[in-house]
Amino acid sequence: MSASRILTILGKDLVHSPKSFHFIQAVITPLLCTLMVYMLFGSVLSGKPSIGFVFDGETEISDLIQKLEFLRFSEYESIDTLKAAVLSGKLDLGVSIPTGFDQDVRKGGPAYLKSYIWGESLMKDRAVIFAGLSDVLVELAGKEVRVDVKTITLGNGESKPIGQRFLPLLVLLAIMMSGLLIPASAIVDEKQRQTLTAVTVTPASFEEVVVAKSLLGFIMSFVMGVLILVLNNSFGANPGLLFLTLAMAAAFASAFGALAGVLLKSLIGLTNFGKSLILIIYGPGILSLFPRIPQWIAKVFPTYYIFNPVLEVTQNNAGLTDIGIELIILAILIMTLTVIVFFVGKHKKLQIA
Amino acid sequence: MKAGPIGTLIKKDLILLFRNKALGIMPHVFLVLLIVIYFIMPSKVNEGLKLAVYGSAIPQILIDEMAEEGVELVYMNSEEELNQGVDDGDFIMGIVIPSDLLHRISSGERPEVKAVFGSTTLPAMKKAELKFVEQIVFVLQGEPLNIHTEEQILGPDMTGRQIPMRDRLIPIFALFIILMEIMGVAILIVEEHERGTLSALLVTSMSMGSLLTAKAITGIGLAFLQAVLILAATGILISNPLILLTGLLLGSMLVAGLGFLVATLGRDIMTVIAWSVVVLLILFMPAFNILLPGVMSNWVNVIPSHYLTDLMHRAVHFDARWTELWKNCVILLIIDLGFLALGSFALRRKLA
Repeated sequence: MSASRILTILGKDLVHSPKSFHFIQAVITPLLCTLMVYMLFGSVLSGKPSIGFVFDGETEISDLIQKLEFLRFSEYESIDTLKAAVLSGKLDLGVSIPTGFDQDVRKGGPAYLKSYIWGESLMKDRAVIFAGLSDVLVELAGKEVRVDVKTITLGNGESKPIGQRFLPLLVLLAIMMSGLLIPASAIVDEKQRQTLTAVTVTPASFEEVVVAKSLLGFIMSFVMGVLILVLNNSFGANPGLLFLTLAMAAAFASAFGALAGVLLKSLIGLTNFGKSLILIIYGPGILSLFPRIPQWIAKVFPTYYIFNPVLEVTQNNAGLTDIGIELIILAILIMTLTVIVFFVGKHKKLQIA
Repeated sequence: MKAGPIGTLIKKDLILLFRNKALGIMPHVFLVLLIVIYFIMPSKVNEGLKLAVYGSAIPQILIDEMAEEGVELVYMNSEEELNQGVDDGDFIMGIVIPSDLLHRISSGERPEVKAVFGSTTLPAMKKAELKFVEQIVFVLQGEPLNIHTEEQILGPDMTGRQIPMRDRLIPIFALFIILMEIMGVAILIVEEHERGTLSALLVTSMSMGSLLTAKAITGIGLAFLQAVLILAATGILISNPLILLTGLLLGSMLVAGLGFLVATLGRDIMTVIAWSVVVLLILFMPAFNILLPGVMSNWVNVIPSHYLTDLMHRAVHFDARWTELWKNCVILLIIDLGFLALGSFALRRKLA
C-alpha cells in the first residue's frame, strides 16, 4: 500500500467530492439542524409557557411581566388577534387589561380583567403563568411577601436547558453523516460509473482507494464535529480529550462508511440504507431527550460510545478516567469494523476483477 | 387499458423491490423500530405539579384552589422526608414553612421559608416555582387582592385528557411514511427510464396509460399499507377506522401524482432524490403544527398535506366525525386528482 497513491486519490476526492449531493447533504444538514435548534429552543421549545396581552391603556404590567424569565411574553393589538393566537396554541393564556387597571389595583380594587385559556395547555403551564401573574399583580398593588425565601438545591448537579441537551446529538449527527455518507457515496459512485475498475487497472489498488475514501470521510467527519462545537461554543474544560473523542468517533464513522461503500451497489441503495439506520445511529441521542425512558437501553447502540463521551466531556467536564471504558469499547468497535472492511473488501475486489 | 399487463408490471416491481435488501427490507425494519419506539415512550402526560410541604398548616381553601390550577400540595411528616421526596423526583420542589410564620410576620419579622429543589430543576423553572412559595405565603398573610378574572377557555378543554407525545407522533409517522413514497414512485419511473426498460415496455402491447397506472398503484399501495400498519400496530386505528383509512388512502393518492411530477423534474436518480427531499420538507410542514401547536403561521394551511394531517389529528385525538371532516376528504380528493392529471400529462410529454 503506497501512501503517495492514497494521498493522490484523497487530493482528487477533496477537489471533486464537494460537488456531490451526499457531500453537500452531509455538510448542510448538521448546520441546518444546529440553526433550527438554536432558533426553536430559544422560543417555542424552551419549555416556557407563553402569555399574551392586550393593553387598553397605560400600564406597568408589560414591564413587570417581561422581567419574569420563565414566561414568554407577547403583546397584541386587539382582542380578536389575541384570541386567535390562543386558539392556535401560540399562547397558553391571553389577558386583556382594561384602561385604568393599575389605578384600580393600587386603590385596593375591585379591578377586572379577562383571560383566555388555551384548552390544550397543560395544567402545570397554566399554574406557572398564574403564579407569575399573581406576583406581578402583588407588585403592582404595592404589597410585598414578607418572608425571605432560601433556595436549597439537593445533589451536586446543575440541570442543563433542553437546547443544550441537544448538542451531543448534533455532534453525533455531524460526525455520522459525514463519516458514513461521504466515503460510502464516493465508493459507490465510482462503482456505478465504473471508474473503480479503471482505477484498479492503474498501480493504485482497491484497498488504497478504500483507504483514501475513508480518510476523506474521517477528515470531514472530524471537521464537522469540531465545527458544531465551535458554533455552540462548547468545548468543555478538557478540549484535548474532546479532540481525541472526536477523532475516534470520526474513525468509527468513516470505517462504517467504508463498509457501506464496499457492500452497497447503488446510490439509491445507500440512501435507503442510511434512512433505515437513522434510529440505530441516532438512537442514543434521541433516548437522552426522554429521561423517563430507561437509559441503559442506549448502551445497546454502537453510537452510544461516541455520544456519551462527547456529552460527558462537553457538559460534565469528564476526564479520561470517567470515559475510559467507553473509549476502549469504541476502539474495539473501530478495530472490528476495520477488520470487517478489510475482509469484505478483499472479497469484493475479486468480484470487480 | 388492460388489467393483465398492469397486474404483471405491479408484480414485477414488487418482486424487484423485495429482492433488493436495501429497498425492500430496510424500510420495514425502520417501520418496526418506529412501532417499538411508540411503545417505549410514556403513555400518559404528567399534567400537574406536586409540591411537598412541611411546617405551617395551609388553609384547605388555598389547597383546593391550587389543586384546581394543577398544583397539588402534599404534607410531609418531617423535613427529611420532604428532602427525600424531592431528591427522588416525587415532587418538583419542597417548601418548609415555619409553623409560627404568621406570628413572626405580624410582629414585624421576616421569617425564612425554605424552597428545596432537586438537582435536575432548570434555573428558569426554579424561578417559576419560587412564585408558588410567594403565592402561598401571600395568601397566608391574609391580604387578598381585590381582582376579579373572567376566564374563557378557547378550543376543546383537554384538562385531564391531554394527548401524550407518542400519540401526537403516530399520525406524523404515518404522514412521513406516506410522503417518503413520493421518492419511491419517482425512482421507480426514473430507474426504468435510465435502464432503457421503459422504452422496451412501451414497444410491447403495454400502453403509456397502463404503465403509469401500474406505477401509481404500486406507489399508492405501498404507502397506504405501511401507513395502515403503523396505525394498526399502535392501536390508533381503532378510533375512527373508516375516516382514518379514507384519509390514508387519499394521502397515498397524493403520493402518486407528486411522484410523477418529481420524476418529470429529475434527470437521474440523484436529482429525483434531491427534488423529493424538497417536496417532502414542504409537505411535512403542517405536521409541525401538531407537534408544536402555534409554531407555524396560518399560511401553512395552503399546503395540501395540511388537510391530511388535520384529518388524522382530529379523527384520532378529538373524535371528529364525517360531518366535520368531509370537507378535508373532498379537498384532498380534488388535489389528488389534480396532481395525478398534471403528473401524468407531464410524464407522458417527457417519455414520449
